[in-house]
Amino acid sequence: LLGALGVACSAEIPGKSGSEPGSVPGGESSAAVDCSGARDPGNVVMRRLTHSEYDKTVRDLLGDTSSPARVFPSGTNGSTGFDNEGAALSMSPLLFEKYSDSARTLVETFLASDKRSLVITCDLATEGEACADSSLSAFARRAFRRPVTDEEKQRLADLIRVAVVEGESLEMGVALAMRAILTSPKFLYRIEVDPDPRAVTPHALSGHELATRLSYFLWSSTPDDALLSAADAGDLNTLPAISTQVARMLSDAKAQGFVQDFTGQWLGLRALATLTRDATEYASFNDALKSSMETETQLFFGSFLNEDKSVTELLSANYSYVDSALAGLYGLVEVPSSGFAKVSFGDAPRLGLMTQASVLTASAKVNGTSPPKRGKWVLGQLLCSEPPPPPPNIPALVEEAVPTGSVRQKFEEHEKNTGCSGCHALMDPIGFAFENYDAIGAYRTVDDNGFDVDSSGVFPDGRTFSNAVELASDIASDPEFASCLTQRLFVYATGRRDTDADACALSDVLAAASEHGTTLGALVTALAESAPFTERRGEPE
Amino acid sequence: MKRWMLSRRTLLRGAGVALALPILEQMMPVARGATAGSPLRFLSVFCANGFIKDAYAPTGTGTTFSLGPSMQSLEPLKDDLLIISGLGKEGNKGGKCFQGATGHENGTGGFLTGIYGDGAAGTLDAGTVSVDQMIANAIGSETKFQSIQTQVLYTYATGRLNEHVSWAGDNTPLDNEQDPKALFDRIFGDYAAPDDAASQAAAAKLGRLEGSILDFVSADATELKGKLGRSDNLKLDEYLSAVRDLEKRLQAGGGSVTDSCNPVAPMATIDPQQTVKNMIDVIVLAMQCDSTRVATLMIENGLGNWVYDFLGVAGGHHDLSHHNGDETMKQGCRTIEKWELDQFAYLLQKMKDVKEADGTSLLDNTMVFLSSDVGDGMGHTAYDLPVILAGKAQGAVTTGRHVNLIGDDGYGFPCSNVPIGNLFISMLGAFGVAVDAVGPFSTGPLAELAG
Repeated sequence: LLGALGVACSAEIPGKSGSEPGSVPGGESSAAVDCSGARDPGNVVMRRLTHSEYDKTVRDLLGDTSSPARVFPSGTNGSTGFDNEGAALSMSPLLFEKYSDSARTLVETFLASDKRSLVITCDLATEGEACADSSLSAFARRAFRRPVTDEEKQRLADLIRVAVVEGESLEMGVALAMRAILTSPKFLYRIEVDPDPRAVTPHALSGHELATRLSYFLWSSTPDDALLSAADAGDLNTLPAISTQVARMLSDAKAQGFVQDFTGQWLGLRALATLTRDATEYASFNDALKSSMETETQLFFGSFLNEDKSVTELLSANYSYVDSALAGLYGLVEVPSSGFAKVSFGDAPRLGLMTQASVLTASAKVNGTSPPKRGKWVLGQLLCSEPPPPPPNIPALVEEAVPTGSVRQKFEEHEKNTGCSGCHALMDPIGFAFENYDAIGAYRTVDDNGFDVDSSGVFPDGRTFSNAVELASDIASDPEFASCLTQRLFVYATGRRDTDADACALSDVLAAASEHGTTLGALVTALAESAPFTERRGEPE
Repeated sequence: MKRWMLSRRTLLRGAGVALALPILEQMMPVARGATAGSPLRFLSVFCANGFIKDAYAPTGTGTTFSLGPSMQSLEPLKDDLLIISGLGKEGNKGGKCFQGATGHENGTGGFLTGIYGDGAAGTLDAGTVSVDQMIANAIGSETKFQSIQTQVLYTYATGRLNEHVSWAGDNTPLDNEQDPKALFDRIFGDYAAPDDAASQAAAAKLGRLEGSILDFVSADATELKGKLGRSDNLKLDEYLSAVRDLEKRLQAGGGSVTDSCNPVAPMATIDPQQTVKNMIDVIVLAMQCDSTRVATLMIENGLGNWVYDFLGVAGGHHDLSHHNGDETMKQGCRTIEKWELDQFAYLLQKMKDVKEADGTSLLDNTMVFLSSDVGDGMGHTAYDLPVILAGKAQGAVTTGRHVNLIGDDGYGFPCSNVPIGNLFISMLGAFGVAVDAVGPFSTGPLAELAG
């Protein structure tokens, strides 16, 4: 569809010689690649838990559902668009203090609750330090996601003794040790060890490191007993074992962690939380509707995890999961009587993800739509071809208090300006197709300026579309979509930008998945089995 | 109440000698009275999306100038301001004034660094440390908090460059406290001192227990450092630095309430205007009590799209800034910008009202720097940045002036050849930090600071 992108759309970022205008976050290479030689699985820096991962990890370790990270400093994305990128996960004094405060609250609450038997598996009062030591060793194994060394056991025992020497109870000693575990770098970071940290020779991850990658990829949380036991037994590092675990994990309710964190960032749904709409123009827009929008997309995407359908259906599905509020917004005939239900769009002008209210809202403005913004979203997130930022010194388009033309006509001015035309010729026509959907995703035939919507357009390769449904159908059939989704999943799964060295692995993943109908499950499985996921190397000095 | 904020080491060491003074006073950070004169402070204020110059720009230069309509609430503080017009990111380029643009990530990442943050990579140029952190490294060691970072009106923006202005290193942004009450608790939570021997002993014991946790995790990090590679070790250095920061705080111990420092917690609120005021109040209090000498405040984050419905403005701030000439949208921007400068006036007045032991005001002893990620939001311009310095910084800044660097570059374009890095060189000089360059574009100090 977009063959001419690299030529048509480029702009210089001043002062940044050497940067690559038009390069895609996580930039893939379009050049033909020779995949016959040795492969480099890459090196990923140790990853601090994201705020979402922290919350889910303490939920699974301690049964605590209070989401302590809600008071942490806002978590931010790195260059990949995902907040689980190792290089971008930094530590500040403020954040460490929040971890420290959180650990104290978590442990105090936990030990006073009936959940304490999750960790304290014996009677401290009668069995004394032996009970404390064994309980803490077992807890540290789960928190560190690997067996605990004798040296670590000794240090924990020493820490308990500090309290006892101070005349405090054994209980206090256990609390101190639990807090130390929950603020240790061995808990807060996902650590992977190379036999030689400076050698670039690829090697397989340890079973526990692999279990940890799998669980944070698919659950955004810590490995469960089954994963740890498989790793303990040395049973995890085979392709059949991985695919069995992936199948088990995707059918577990915890896979909602993947659905939330991946769609939240890939599709931009996280923006919904702090996003507002002009109350006079969009009276029906409120927190409940925002929440419904998010739930719809999560249910829809989630249905691909275990169902036998191709990922292209993400864009071409003639159905979705809606509640009565969304059915009303969409003008659907079928209206669920309660909660969410799978409904067919019927004759309603909707098709797949691209016409869901969540993404239409997230890519609009407070008081109206923005065709370039929606076009940029489609190009960037669905086709991995995000245009560069605008060039210097953009002239004002039109100075008029009362619009004399449609939104489309105003934005078509972009294409008359030579500095703007390259990228806007790509972004805007896609955005124009969505002018039939207002800033909260409701269908309309008159735009924000009060003019009739013209949603037709032409792709750079000459193919035409008359509206968003046709456009969505075209993009669904574009092989770039599955390839782009694979790239996004790769970045999310590995926590690093993909490089040219990953091109072969990426195409292998897509090829392997296509033998199984290119389902989401097949893509995820092929990724989990790929060398960049199961192997790593050191980093030269 | 964090009564445990006492270091086991300090307490153990001091156990035999704490005779003349109550133990808590011994562990107070160096207070104003203990050094000659009042300490020098630095505070930066970030406003998002630039300013519309027809309402912002002062008219007249030197000591005879008039404030623009957006700045009217600063009129009573005019003698405390040094407004500098025309600074840009790059200055001269190819014999012409620089007329470039930037992204919000580039601009916000470059806010206190004089560079363009690399939006694609999410980092700053290798080796970059933001100006506030260079200052904090020079003057922050005597206070309990070397520096504090705050942010208030938050809207989700992808890209961490948009969310931070304070960087300890090119890949180490310093997180912002976004809740004024949490900031207050963090700084003043240990201000109620135990007043009897029994509770002092209990606090001492708690301090030792807390410290043992930090010892444990430091040992974990040190053990890992021996096993891991270069990039992992940088992460562990960040971690260890954060642990040491908390440890240092434990050792500093709690403060005590005095006439000049009587911290009162802000009332809880969900009102955005009150939240901004509360954050300002806590920052001023922290400086008044000498808990820190360096602070940053981001009113919005970069790419901020806050909806100022309390001002009657429809639309998000960033959306409005791309007004395409629409007068309603432009007016919305002007209204927001005036409100931001109203908050700035509130901050400055508050600092001016704080009298220090030597009779000067807190504002007299501070350098306040206000600017934005871009000059003008519509075109993302990286020239004609709005820059206001406030406070005399103990004489380093000659206030009551408007320095206009804008001239005709010979091509009919009103701009200046002066990069903002030059201002940063001079600002750092006021804090005793001597550098030849800040960022890749600076050419030397900006003499106009001292007038």
